[in-house]
This record gives sequence, structure tokens and C-alpha cells, in this order.
Amino acid sequence: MLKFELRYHFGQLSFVIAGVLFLLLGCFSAVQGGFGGSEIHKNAPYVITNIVALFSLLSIFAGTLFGANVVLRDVIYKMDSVIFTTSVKRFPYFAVRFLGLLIAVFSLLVITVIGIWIGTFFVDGNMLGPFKLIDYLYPLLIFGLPNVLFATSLIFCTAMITKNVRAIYAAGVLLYILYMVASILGNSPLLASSAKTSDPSVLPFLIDPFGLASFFSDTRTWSDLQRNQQLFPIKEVFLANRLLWLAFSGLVITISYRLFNFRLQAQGQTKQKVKTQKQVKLVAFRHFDVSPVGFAYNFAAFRSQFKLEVISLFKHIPFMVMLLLWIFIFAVELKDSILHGPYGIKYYPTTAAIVEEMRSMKFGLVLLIFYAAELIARERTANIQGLIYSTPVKNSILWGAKCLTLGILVLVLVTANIGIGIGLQVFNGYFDIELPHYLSLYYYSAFPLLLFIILIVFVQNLTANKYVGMMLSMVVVFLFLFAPRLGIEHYLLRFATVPDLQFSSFNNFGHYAKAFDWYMLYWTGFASILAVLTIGMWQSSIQRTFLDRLRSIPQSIWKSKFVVLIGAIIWISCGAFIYQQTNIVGRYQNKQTALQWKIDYEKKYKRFAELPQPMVKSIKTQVDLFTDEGKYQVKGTYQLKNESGQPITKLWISLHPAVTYFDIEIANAEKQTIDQTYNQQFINLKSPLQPGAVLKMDFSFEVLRSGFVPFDAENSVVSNGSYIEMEKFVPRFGYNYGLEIEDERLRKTAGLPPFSIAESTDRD
Amino acid sequence: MERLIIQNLSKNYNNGVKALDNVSLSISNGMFGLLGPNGAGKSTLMRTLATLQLPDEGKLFFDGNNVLQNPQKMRAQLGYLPQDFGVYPKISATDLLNHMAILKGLQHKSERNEQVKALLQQTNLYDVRKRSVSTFSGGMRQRFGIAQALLGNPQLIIVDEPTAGLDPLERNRFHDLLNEIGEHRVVMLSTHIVEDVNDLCPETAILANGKLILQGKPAALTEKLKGQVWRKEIEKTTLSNYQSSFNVISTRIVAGKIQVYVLAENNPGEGFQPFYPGLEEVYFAALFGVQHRTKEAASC
Repeated sequence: MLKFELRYHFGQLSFVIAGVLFLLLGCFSAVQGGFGGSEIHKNAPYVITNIVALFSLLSIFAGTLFGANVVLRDVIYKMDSVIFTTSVKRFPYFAVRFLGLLIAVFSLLVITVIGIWIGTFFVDGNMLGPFKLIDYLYPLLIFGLPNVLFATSLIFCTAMITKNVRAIYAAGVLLYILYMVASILGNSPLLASSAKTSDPSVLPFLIDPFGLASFFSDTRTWSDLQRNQQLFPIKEVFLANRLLWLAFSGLVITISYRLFNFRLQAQGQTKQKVKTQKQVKLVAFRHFDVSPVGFAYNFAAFRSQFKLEVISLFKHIPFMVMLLLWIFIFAVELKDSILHGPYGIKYYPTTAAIVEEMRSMKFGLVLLIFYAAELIARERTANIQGLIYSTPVKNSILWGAKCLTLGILVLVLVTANIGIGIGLQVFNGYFDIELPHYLSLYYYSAFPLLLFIILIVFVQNLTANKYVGMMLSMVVVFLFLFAPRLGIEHYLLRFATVPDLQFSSFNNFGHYAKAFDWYMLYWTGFASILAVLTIGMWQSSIQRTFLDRLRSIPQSIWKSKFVVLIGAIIWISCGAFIYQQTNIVGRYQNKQTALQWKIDYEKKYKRFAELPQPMVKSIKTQVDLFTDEGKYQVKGTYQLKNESGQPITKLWISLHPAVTYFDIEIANAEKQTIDQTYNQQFINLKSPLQPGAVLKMDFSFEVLRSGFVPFDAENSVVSNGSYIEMEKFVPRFGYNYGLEIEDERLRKTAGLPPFSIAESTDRD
Repeated sequence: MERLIIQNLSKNYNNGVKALDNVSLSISNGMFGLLGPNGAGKSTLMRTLATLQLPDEGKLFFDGNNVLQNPQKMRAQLGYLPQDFGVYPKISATDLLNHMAILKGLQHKSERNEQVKALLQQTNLYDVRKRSVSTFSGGMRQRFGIAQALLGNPQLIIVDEPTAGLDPLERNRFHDLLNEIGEHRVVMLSTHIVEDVNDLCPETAILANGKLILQGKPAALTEKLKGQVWRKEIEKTTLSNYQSSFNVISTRIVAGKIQVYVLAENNPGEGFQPFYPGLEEVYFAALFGVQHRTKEAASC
């Protein structure tokens, strides 16, 4: 029986996908993850324990998914009456089911560890310690197994008692949220925001069911050597913690075994009050002609469907619980970060600070994925699709109703956030509530999520399996969120993602606000194409295969060619504009090219470093600020003096890379062409500047600080108060040592000589 | 006048099952009974007609409209009761019926209300109209399904095993209703209960293994079989002898004894009495023919 159970688990598509995912993540986090610093071996016990401990948190989700998928399969496929009447005994049935789930989830962690091991083959040998099997097994036993046991026992208990898929999901999400709450309340070192002075109490370490708090706080003081060699010892508080939660898991299992009655669930028959039968007049049945065309019909159908979707979403107790917890968490988080700043600083709860804190709602994406899966699969889950899709209702209507419902969810979350913010202010006696700033969250906070809805619905609609769809959307969303880690940095490639907006009292969302509009327009164009594709591939009935739906794409594009056309035009033209602004005007560089830029600079110009250059003796500048366009122009004059003791024949002008354009005027000199990549220019003096002689130099340059270039607090043009550290941007002379890279390993791979502290005083 | 024309419809499933094999039918107004054993392809045909599924081959026309190319026009004239369906949870019967009415295109509120009310009364659900449909018992849910299929002014009504789970009284009510509204429209009734077809349908067809094996008016079909069915009461133990030496199309147990029904041109032997065939015998004879032929083909 256990064999069958396990084969069932391992055969599930969701298990296969999760397995591959965990393997890759394990591999990836071993290779890429910077756990504990650069001197720590990639396969150090500390690193492996760290990864396993963190991944054991994910067992909540895996457990939820498998639990929902598998534990309830008898009920879902209506096999329960068959199975419960066979000769299978209660205990083996229960045990096998539970063990199946436990082993399935635990094997994911084993796969992760295998992933770590595979990952070590991709790492340079000098970053590895010796291979020890115990390093891999030990974390699995002290973190993996107990944590998986804890998560699965709670989920299994929920499943057995309620026999309701949604309740399982709710339990899973609840568990995670509760964990977060516990770590916030317990000042878990895992959450950066709550890194406070250490509390002598052991309670927080005891109540963390996953034991992470102990691990992180104890190992914080470990030396590199300890991290490389020592396993995390089970003693004192940590031992108590493990025992406590093992006992708790045991208790939960016992309780669920007690409560698990090997019977069918009683029919949820609500008792009807016996009412006195009123005699109603019989209405004769007549046929009425239908006209399922035109705007009025579509609108009515949309409204009716939308109403049903909203009812299904909000008239649901787990949803309310979720919302309450959301409010709770956000309130705790917000209170924590506003009222307990770094070094114990207490901020005023100004609207600006609060808006800044809660603009980003990435956590909301988890809810969106969950509810998108529920909503898209609703017809199939309810098995009403035959009725709905044989009516003339258009796919776009259903799509629209579902998307709008999810949109309402986003708006509810934003509203809840605003409520929390205002509540916090009022409780702290701060009454300067700037409502317009709060309202701006409906755009800056909600709009990217609205775009994400369209993406998630698109992904979800690709597969007929709700759980696979959830996994897929999870992967897609994570890909976009963590794109920089994968080397995708350009915002043109990162769906509905913008540079981190910063809110300030003076400037609102200032710097990036205009760029935000453009990015949103750009992604709206893209989303409209996605929408057409989603509608074209809509899972109107179970019988259409994926290939059938793919094949219908050209037709659906043709049907809504104007939407696609307009969407494409918006998408491409905004893309072109953003590209021009970012890459050409703004000289965009990702991390890799920025590094290469520095390396090339050194290679190209280091050899001229000894070229004698004059000193600036006096400066006169005239600065024009164009705040609406976010740019400024500088005209100025230098008095240069040769203090080098040698005659100077060649001036070497260099400007900051942020300078968009510059021009130098010197009498009696010959300008060489400007090196645009580095803003460098050589100027040959027709008559050399003798030692002690002076020279006048005129210059002008322009700097564009639009939202398409990264924000620089020391170089920003704002209508109500610009701040520019001008000495960085005016022309300077000679080689800039400050641009050299210092990392020895990188220098070695780039073929540069070892770094030496430059003697020049010219560095900044 | 023929309104629904089915031409050479074929459908294969991925698991190799041939659900429909070159099925052609022409159907005019009135009730049309589709008979067949479980797994004969009835539901596949019904779903195809209800525009929920595409066939591999073949064409469908309703009132001249090519259904496969223009399903939207078909859907506007369609009433469909699937064999097995569920409902959105926590929505009352009235609300859900109203929703379905809106989706079907009943735009006027007064008309919608009138029809919803009338249908709830006709299907005897009026007293429970405020209850959530998901808490209905099987029979009640089935009646709800019937109600929603009749919304609007459907010209093609497809009902897949509609009387499954209904008690005899409800079944009669439903038959009356179908009979009444079926006069000026096409009603496709799929069932494996021969009696239903016999009572209701002026036209019938029998489907087995995806193939159409018989089609015609029940009366004409029985007439054709007249004089070819013989009945004999036998002992249980001798049944296998009879099955091997006669064309036994069916058996029936009456008061502990077995009656065998045998298909033969002439009296097959002693003790056999001529039996006046009903539609049931037609059905069994047709199925027997199919089995026989496949057996022969296998033995060749």
C-alpha cells in the first residue's frame, strides 16, 4: 500500500515539477548564494544547513500542494465510499496516507541536498571543503525531517478533518503567515527589519517551529573556520525546541487520527426551516427570444459573471482570515520599521515614511497566484463548464470578469494597507494625514500588480491542471522578481518591474515617476497582447487539447487584430522610447558591462597616467537648471596653472560618465575626437604650457537626469530643490584611479596587474 | 423539414477509443431518441452537438448554419443538459438560473423573471429556490439542469440521460414538459432506457461502439421485427446450451424461471412461442447483431 501511495506521489506532475525546481534551486543556491561570506566553502556544513533550513520552510507549500492534490483524491474522485467499505483497516490507511505525504515532501529536501552536491561540481576547487556525507545528512535530520513533519502533520490534520481543498490551502498559507508572525514577534534574526538588541529570553527561540531563530542567532558569531567545519550542535534551547515541536507534531498526528473517522463525510445538508407553504400563483411557461449579441448583452453577462466571481472570492471565510492576517502582518511590519528604526531611532509616522514602506506589495503576488488558480479553474472544479460554455457567452467576458475580480482583490489589499497606515498614524497621535499621497498608492502600488494579474492568468490558462498552473505562475513570477540574480537586469525585460520607487515628503515619487508611467504604458501594451492570447487559448471546454488551443491563436489574433495592433504599437514604440532614453541617452550598463567598462578604462588609459596635467586654480560657472526636463547645463571657465615642473603639450580632459554632452574651448589648441564611451578627450596645445604658466579654458556640458537613469542622491534635479555635487561633474584632468576595480580575483581574470594603492592624491 | 444534419462525424480519443465512427443523421422537429449502451459514444455526440467538443471529421448543420464553423450561432439556440454537471457553490437556484438566463441572452428583466419563476415551478423547485443548488440532492439537481436547459427559446434541446436519478413521478412530469415544448423544436434525448424512447420519441436511432446501427420510427422498427422473435421459458442450468445454439438476444427472469428471447426467421424449436416485439427487442436485436458481427469478424 505504501508502495502504491509513493508511486502515486512520485507520478504526480506537480511532484516532478517541484522536484526539478528544488534540484535546480539547491544547485543554484549552492553555487550562487553567498551564505556566510566569501571565505566560506560552498559545501561547508554551515552553508548546507543554511540552505536546508531555509528550504524546509518551503515544505509548507510543497506539503500543501501535495496534500491537496493527493490526500483528498478519494473524496475528489468520489472513491471514498468504495475505499471506506473495503477491508482496509483504519490505522494502515491513515498511516500510509500520512507517510506517503511525509516521504514525498521530505524527498524534495533530499533532492535539494543532491542539488547542492551537484552544484559543488560547478564551483572552483579552492572554494570547496572536503566532501563529508555527514555534512549533508545531518541538516536533513535536524532541520529537514522535524520541519517537514511539523508542516505535513498540520496540513494532514486539516485535510483529514475538513476534507476540503480550500481549507488545506488556507492552512498552508496560514502556517506560513504564522511562522512570519512568530519570527517578527520573536525578533527572528532572519528578518532584517527586526534585528534588534538580543533578547535574553529563550521564548522566541522556543516558539519558532522551524528552529531557524536558534540557528541564525547562534551562528551569527561563528568564525569562518567554525562555519567551514562545525555542524550545528543540538543542545540547550535548540534541543528543547526540536523536542517541543516533535512532540507537538506527534500530538497533532494523534489528534487527527482520533478525529479521523473512517466514514463518509456527512452530507452538508443545511436544515431548512419548515415554512408554511404559501400558495403562489402558477406562472405558465412561455418562451422568450434571446439576443445574445451587442453591447447590452455582453455588459449584462459580464456584470452577472463578475458578481458571481466576487461573491465566490469574498464570501469565503478563509479569505477573510487571510485578509485579517495580511492586515496584522503589515501592521506589525509597519509599526516595527517606522517606530523602531535602526539604532533604536523612532521616526514620526509621517505619511511619506509610511507610503514608502508599503508601496511594494510583492507578497500580494502569492495571493494573486493562489486566487488566479482558483478562479480560472472554477468552472472545472465546480463541473459547471458544460452549462456555461454551451451558452453564447464570449470567452473574453469570462476572462474579463475573472481578471477584474483579481483586480478588486488588489484594490482591497491596497485599501487595507492605507487603512493600516492611517490607523498607525492616528494611534500615534499624528494627524497630518495626506490623503492624496495615500491615494497615489492605487496607481504606484496597484498598477504593476494589475499587470501581473494578466500575466498570471495567461500562465495559469496554459495548463488544465490547477496545481501545475500554480507552479508555473510561481516560477514565472519568481523569474521576473529575481531576474537580476539571473543576469537579466534591464527593466525592458522585467515584466511590470520598475526601478525601486522612493517616496519622499518633498518630492513624492519624484525621480522615477515619469519613467514609471512609460514603463507601465510599455507593459500595458504587452499585456494587451497577452490578454488576446489568453482569450484565444481560453480553456472553454475540457476537450480542447493544448495543441488545439495553440492552433487557434492566429484566428483569435485576427479576430481582435485592432487590439493586438494597438497593443503592439504601444508596446514597441514605448519600448523604443525607453530604450533610447535608457541605453543611448542614459548610457545604460548592467553589472557585467559596468564592470567591463571599468576594466577597459584601465586597460585603455592607465598607460597615460603619468602624463603631466595642470592644476585648476580658479573656477567660474554658470548653471542653468531645467527642472521639468530633469536636466541642467553648465557653462564655466577654468584658470589652469602648470605646477608639474614639466611643459604640458597635451591636456587630458575627463568627465563623469553621467555627463550627457560636453564641449571644451581653449585658444590655440587642437581638439582630438571625444571618446564617447568614457567621456574623455585629449587636446593638443599648439604651444606647450610651460611650468608656472597659466591657461584659460572654457567649457560647457549638459547632464540629463531623467527617470530612465538610476537615481543619484548627489546629482538630482528637482523642481522644489535640486542637489548637485558639482565638483564631481565638472571637467577634470588625467587618469581617474577611482575607477579601477579592487577585487583581486576579478582583476586576475581580467588580466590586470594586482591592485596597488595609487600614490596620486587625485582620488576621491 | 430536416433541421439538424449530421454528416460523417468521427472522433477518436487519444487512448485509442473510437467514440464516433462515421455517424450521419438527419433530424427534424420533435423528439429524437438516441439509444445505446454505456460507452457507445452518445455523450460524445451530445457534447459535439453542444459545441463543447470538436470532431476529428465530419460536418454539422443546424438550420443551414455550419455549427463547427460558427458555433456562436448554435449556442444562441441551444439548451443543453449534460449527463453529469455541477454548479457554483453557495449560489441559490434563482440566482444561478438568472445568471444562466443572462448568459443565454434573455435581456429583459421581466421576461427573465417570468421564465425563471415558471421553470422553477415546472420543475418543482420553487419551494427551494433560495437554497444553494450545491446542496441539492441528485434528483433536485437534475431538475435544476432541466430548468436551465429550457431557458430562453432553444431550438435544439440536447438532454443527456435526463431522467437518471428522477423518481417515476418526476420522470413523468419531465416527459410531459419535453413533449410539450418539443413540438416545434428539435429535442435530442439520449438514454439507455428503452422505455423512455418508446413513450416519447417518434424517431430513434441506436448507437453502439461509435457506430449508428439502426435508425427509424419505433413503430416501423418493431413492425419489421414482427414474427422473428420467439420466447421460451427454460431452466437456469440449460441457458448456456441455448446461448450456443440459438440467437439469444436477451433473457429475462420471471418468477424464478428464465425466459429466453431468440431471433429467428422460423420457429426455432419446441416450446418456443412467437413473441410480439417491442422497442426493447429491437434494441437488443440490433445490439446482438453488432456483437455477432464482431464475433464473426474475430473468428475469421
